[in-house]
Amino acid sequence: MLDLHSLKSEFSTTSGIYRIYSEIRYQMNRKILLVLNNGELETNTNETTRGVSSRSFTGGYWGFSSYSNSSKDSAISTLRESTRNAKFLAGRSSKSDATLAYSQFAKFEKSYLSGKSPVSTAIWLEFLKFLDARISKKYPDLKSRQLKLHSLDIEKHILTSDGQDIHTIVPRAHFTISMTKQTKHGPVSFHDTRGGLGQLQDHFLVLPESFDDWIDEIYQMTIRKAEGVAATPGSYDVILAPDLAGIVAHEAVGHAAEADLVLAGSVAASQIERLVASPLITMIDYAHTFDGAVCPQPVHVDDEGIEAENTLIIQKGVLKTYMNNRETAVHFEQKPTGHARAFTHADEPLIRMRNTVVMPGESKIENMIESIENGYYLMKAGKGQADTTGEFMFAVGTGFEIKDGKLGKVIRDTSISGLAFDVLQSVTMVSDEFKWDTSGYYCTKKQLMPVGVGAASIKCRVRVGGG
Amino acid sequence: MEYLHLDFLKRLLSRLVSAGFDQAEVIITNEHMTEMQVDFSDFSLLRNTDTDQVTLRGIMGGRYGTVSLNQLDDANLQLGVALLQEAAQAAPVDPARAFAPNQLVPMNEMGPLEPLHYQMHERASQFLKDVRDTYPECLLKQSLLRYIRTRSLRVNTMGLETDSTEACYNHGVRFLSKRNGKTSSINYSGAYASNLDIELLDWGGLRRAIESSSREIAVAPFEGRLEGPIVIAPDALSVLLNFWLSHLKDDRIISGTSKFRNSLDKPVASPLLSLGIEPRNPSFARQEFTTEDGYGSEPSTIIQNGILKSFMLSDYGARKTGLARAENSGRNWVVSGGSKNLVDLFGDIDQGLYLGRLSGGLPAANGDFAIVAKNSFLIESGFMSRPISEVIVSGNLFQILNAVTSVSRERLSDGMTTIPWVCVEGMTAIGRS
Repeated sequence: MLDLHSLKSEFSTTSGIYRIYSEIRYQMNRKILLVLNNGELETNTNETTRGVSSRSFTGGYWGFSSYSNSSKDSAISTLRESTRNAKFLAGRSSKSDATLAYSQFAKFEKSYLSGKSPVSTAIWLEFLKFLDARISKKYPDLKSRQLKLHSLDIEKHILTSDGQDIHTIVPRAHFTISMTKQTKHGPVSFHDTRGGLGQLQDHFLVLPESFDDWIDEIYQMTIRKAEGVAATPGSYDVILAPDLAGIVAHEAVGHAAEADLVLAGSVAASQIERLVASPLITMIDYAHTFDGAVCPQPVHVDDEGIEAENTLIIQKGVLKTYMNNRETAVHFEQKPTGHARAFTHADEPLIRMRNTVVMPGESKIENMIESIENGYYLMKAGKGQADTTGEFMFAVGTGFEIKDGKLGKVIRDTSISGLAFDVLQSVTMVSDEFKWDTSGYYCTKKQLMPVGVGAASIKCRVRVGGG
Repeated sequence: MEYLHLDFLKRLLSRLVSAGFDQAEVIITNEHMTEMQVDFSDFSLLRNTDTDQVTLRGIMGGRYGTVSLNQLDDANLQLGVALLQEAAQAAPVDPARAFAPNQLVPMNEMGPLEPLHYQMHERASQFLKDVRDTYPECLLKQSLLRYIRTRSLRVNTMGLETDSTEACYNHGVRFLSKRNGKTSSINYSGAYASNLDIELLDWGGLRRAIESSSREIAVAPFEGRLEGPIVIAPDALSVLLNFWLSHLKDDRIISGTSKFRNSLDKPVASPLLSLGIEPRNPSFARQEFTTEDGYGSEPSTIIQNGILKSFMLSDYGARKTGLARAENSGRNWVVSGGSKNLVDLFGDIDQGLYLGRLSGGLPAANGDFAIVAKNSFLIESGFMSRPISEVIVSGNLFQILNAVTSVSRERLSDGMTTIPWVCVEGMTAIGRS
């Protein structure tokens, strides 16, 4: 690993007429992806991406440079080029009053590696093959099976010209089983994912037989879905289960409260201290710890060297603050709370959520179901999209009818859509249970980013698409 | 950079052979990108990245492995060889694994070999001024003008040696329009060009999209239900086609979940629909010299007048299934134009929907989909009468491509693909109830 400390003397806070802020980042992303399709190895990827980058700010403009060559010389080159790039823009326009929030934070080091020795690819492949053979033997009626192991370790070392020195290692690992059943309507698929913070050996180095119950659950849901009915399009009272509620809240509401998107005119602009949701809704982006436990994607210090703190986005329905980086914090006169993150060494930090949570309420899930005469219980989000106007649309991969206060038939793939703040204002019940999403969610905003998402179940009104 | 030389790759290939691989392949790519970013109508970031990647592939006793690294120093390459051995030893014997044979693939260079920073800044500045002067209601959220140069070298134990450099500019814009406090829906537009000779506003469909955005300010929720014809814009059609074409590729063909596994030379779409892949079309700024497997890229026909003419399989997928290998990587789509001008295509419609962009999830495995229509209009008496929001369009992808009733003569090219407007039946639009 490149020792960045030797580069401290390379920082220059002033250069001619320019005042310059700079940061240098060394980063390594290590990804393992193993995919078994119907017992055959489809993907066996072991990918390490590392490199060094610098970002500089002067005159209101940013410059950035990166190299995958992680030598000291390359690091010095990135610093010089990022400064040159910032000056190139600053020399052609004027934003001379632009400033950045500064951090009092100094040094931080944290690794979430457990110390358990990594396991060879051969053993993981045997693990997958063993489970696949059990599925194939027990459930020969399936049209296809897919087993996927996926891990991503991200290591970052960051120095900033105002004195921060940050070194973190955050791994996460997930295991997905997908099953497909042929029906008269065509193939119907169901999948489920387990995992979270840690490496593969932290989550899955257990007896393969211990996955039997989970496999049975996935099969049963696949069959129920294959025999399921299409949702009838229309507006309904629905219950969004935690997996779905969390992702909808992240995509449709969270992004709108990111300060860079607020500046671009998101639906949250000028809504601070206004009622944007039901008073039952409180939404917080947690930095690293929730309810005494480490979050799925802990961030202690962000990539600008800002200490990460929890961000209260919505409190009892009232929009309280935006999520900021150093630059937008000055613009909105809000405190930066550590949201600037970059996915790879070659990416610049953007404002990102960390662990977004819709806080639990007081209702019992049974009572919530009982309260709906004709609606749906919707459980898992598929692909989806939301824009900064708040209009969203998500595929829903799992759900049930609710008829006369009782769960009914499983529905096939459908979708939900609506306007985020309208939907949040329609919330009439929030469950007292809470669950982190275990799907290993990646958020997309110019770059990918692993995020944590959690929620209670919420009762609200949305449009259901229909399959 | 000594590693960007075929001799360097050959030495690495020798190490793989010495490590026990019966067959091996080494690929090194170097990508340089310069990006000029505008946020909210002002420059914000100038970014350059230089990225190396080495991919090692090997077959040992019929077992295949692959490893990717981005450090090219000796210690890391040694580690890469060890990881490749581990990966191959762990893999099952698979006779379908092989590397491209020695063939005549010319060393190619395409596009500008260096970025023109000053001209990029000039073009981007002019773009900001043009938008401000010509379309004052347009709010730019972000504009990214990029120069991308990729050099790719490959050698393998079959004797294949390739070295190509592809470079082009890319411009992507997110925007909306605003008047008296009311805004349109957000829209996007992107295109490739081999130089900066043309104003950015005239790349791809950007000008048309910004003009449409201004009309979309008057957007209102759609009420009720519509089962009339729907005109699908090129951007929206490309999203649907992308999913449709996934049924011709490795994943679905090998796993047996493809809708079209047994449909070669059979009707799969309307006779009005023809789709070819043209990787060396000179009008494209983003072309393709070699496939991802190392074969020289050649044009191919996927759908001819509604008949499926070829799958889009990799070399591995082809060996695995006994079907033919695709002649290219399948990114340069050319959908044939039809016989009607756009004006006439709209003119035939009494009541229908213009689908500008799709937002939401992918179709289910059986082709059913329900997607929000964005940047869309109601068509009445042959004209786009008013912009609408909160409308869900649903249907079955496989059925609607069979229900194409007309294809426009005009086509939109973004420097990588060329796609017309099509009119289809069989989709349902449902508004706010």
